[in-house]
Amino acid sequence: MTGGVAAGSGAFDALADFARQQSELAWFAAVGEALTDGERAEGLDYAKALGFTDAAIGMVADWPAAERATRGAGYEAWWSAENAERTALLETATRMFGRHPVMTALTHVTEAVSTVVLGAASVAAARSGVADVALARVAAGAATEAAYHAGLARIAGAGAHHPFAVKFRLFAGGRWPLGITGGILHLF
Amino acid sequence: MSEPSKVQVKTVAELAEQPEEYRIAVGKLVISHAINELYGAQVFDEPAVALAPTPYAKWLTCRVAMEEYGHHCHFFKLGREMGIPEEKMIPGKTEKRPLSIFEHKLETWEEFVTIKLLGDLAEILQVEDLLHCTFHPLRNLARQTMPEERFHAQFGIDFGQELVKTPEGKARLQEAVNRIFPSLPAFFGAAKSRNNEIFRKWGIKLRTNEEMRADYLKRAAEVVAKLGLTLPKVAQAA
Repeated sequence: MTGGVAAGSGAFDALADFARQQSELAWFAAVGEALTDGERAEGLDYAKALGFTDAAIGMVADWPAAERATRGAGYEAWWSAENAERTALLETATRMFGRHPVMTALTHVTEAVSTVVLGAASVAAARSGVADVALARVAAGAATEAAYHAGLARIAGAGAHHPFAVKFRLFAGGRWPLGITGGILHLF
Repeated sequence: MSEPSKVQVKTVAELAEQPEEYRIAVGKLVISHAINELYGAQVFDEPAVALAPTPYAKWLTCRVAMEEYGHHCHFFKLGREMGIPEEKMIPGKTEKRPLSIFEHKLETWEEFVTIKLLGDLAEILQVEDLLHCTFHPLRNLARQTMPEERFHAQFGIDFGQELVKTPEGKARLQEAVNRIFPSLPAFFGAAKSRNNEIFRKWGIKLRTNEEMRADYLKRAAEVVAKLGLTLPKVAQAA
């Protein structure tokens, strides 16, 4: 495993850079704003990359609507698709570098993102007149998971078109993709 | 030498000037919290993400897992500053046996809700007992983590309230309470514990294990009663 880590030190350095960047992103800064054409295209790319080729974009307008969407049913297929990607990437990364170094590097990413996203979500919600500690934590959890997924995609060598890379770009642009159900990607 | 009833240790540096009994006692508590917080995150919170019924529940569980992990990191950091070897504060590396609750394999969402509802209540009582601890770095850490511990217990109440809305959900939650709860009173340690006697002698903790367990049983019964549930009968002594 040591040789694998040494050979992949560039990948780990890049992941360390990725962890450091988490505090500089526009977490939740654009939620509730009208979607741009570029964001709609990214959303569709994300859905297609997960296998939802006929998905459409559903704009979510505010925090209460985001809560209703995330509390809804019918997300199993989307969930399974993401989990299959996660499992495949983890197998690849583990084969390349060993499980412990990969998990340690990803822990640094999730630690870095966790320290900033709860505050960012709370501020964004407060700007809209919403003070809900649970919903802010839900948003923070989603952002942390997205950063973990994106970090995993990077360490496994997946490219910029991987669904986790695309999803992360939406988060980095201040959005919150809420999941796919009924052929709709709910995008906040 | 400091007099037990008067001692107030404001920094880690001052800890080195305290009697060995005090230093060992504080070290035991820091190790215990560092281990248990990480066990909780690994054994319950992380597996629960896959059991969550909605994205809302899934992401909230992700956040709770990170907060529990963060608590471990805080206690681990304090322990390291105190000179405690790292391997004593990490499950799998330490020789310290896990609490029996951590040997339970989480299989359902209802079990996780029960862990938050009743397991985190037990954690709250443990942290409450440190809020006036004479070792101020540990006292301050307890005060820092307490709001999140309370939120985690509220998580159990909120999702418990959702589950009991249907007879089927209520029955599944009651079954989970029946399975999980019997192992929780042991969380408070043995009656007439020598460790606890030393903790109280030095003002590190306030209450006996028996007092804390009795308080826990009362508060746990109140929490489940609000959901229309009951606690199974368990042996009172650890």
